Amino acid sequence: MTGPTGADEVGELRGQVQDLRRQLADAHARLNSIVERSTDGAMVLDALGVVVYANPAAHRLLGRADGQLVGEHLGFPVTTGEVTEVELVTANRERIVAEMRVVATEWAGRPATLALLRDITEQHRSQVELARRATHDALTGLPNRYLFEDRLRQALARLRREHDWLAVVYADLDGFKALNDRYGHPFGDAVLVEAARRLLLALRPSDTAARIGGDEFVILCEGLHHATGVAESILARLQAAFAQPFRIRGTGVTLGISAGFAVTDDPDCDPEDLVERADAAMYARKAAR
Amino acid sequence: MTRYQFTVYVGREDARVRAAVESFRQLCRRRLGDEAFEISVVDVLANPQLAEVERVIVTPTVVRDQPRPRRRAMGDLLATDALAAALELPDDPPDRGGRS
Repeated sequence: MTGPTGADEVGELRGQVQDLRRQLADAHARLNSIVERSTDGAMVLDALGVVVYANPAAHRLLGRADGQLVGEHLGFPVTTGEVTEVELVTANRERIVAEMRVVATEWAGRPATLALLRDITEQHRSQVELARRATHDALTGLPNRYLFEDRLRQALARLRREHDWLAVVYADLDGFKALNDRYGHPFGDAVLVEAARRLLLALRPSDTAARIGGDEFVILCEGLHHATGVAESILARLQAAFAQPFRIRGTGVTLGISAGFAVTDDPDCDPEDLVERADAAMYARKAAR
Repeated sequence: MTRYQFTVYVGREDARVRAAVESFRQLCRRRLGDEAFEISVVDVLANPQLAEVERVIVTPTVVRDQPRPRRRAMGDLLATDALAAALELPDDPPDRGGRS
């Protein structure tokens, strides 16, 4: 039975409930303003890796409309250490490189995982580009000396597993210096770009051509099987490729190519020694002309 | 004997991806035995429709297709312990120590 005291109690309780509701709403709003506005994608995955929550940034990252991610079976996230790099496939088949950070958590009283995703596509592209520049000649786009040496070492290591022959071809352009002096460096650069193009056309897809000096190139040819036969035919193809005059900026010039090679089937062969032998072979052929 | 079947969904195949797949292969050898599993590798860029049908969102993703129920893990395939747990692989090959 409610007397004056009973009514007061109910009123007080009602007031307390309203206070608690307000506090809860405040706390909820604060957390929301962090998670909902975060620019990092945040997803909560259950024990099987199914999405139980995803914030707006996660939806944006994956090109999905709001709410579309819940229920998606992403998979249980695994990392060594705190972060790992993954790629995301978006709704319109774009590829995004993302850093994924994984934290154990709870959701509705059950073990869950919080997966945070940060788009690092731009940084990744820059890194890839920087790595490419460090290993390639800027003018011709061919591998530089460092990449060539790396490839040569790997090729020699492969000889350890399976016997075969490989060759290093050393080549330079006849009359290039005179041409450079006469027509200037920009012209010379254009000649080198065209020379690199012809070089690549004359080679097999498995060969590696590199620019290691002004007009000097080295080529790695693997899988020779029969020692000199294949190397000689590559030299012949190079000669043929350079037989046609070059037409640069309306001016026709003829450029020859001198080349020599050295072969080995020895995985312990010193790479620099092999390149030097190829260089010497080139000079020997020049002298014999 | 239960035969395990896995599909590994990857982005462009490069040295890092190949190393990750090889690491997973070694994990399967250790936990399942040499003959007890099959691994298929699917490039999601070369097979976008397949990736969509399977709803692959993150690469790399490993799906255990058999035995059922399916299990799925994604992220760093070098995290072998976590990967084995997520895919519910046994600690040792079932036949070990059987034949004399």
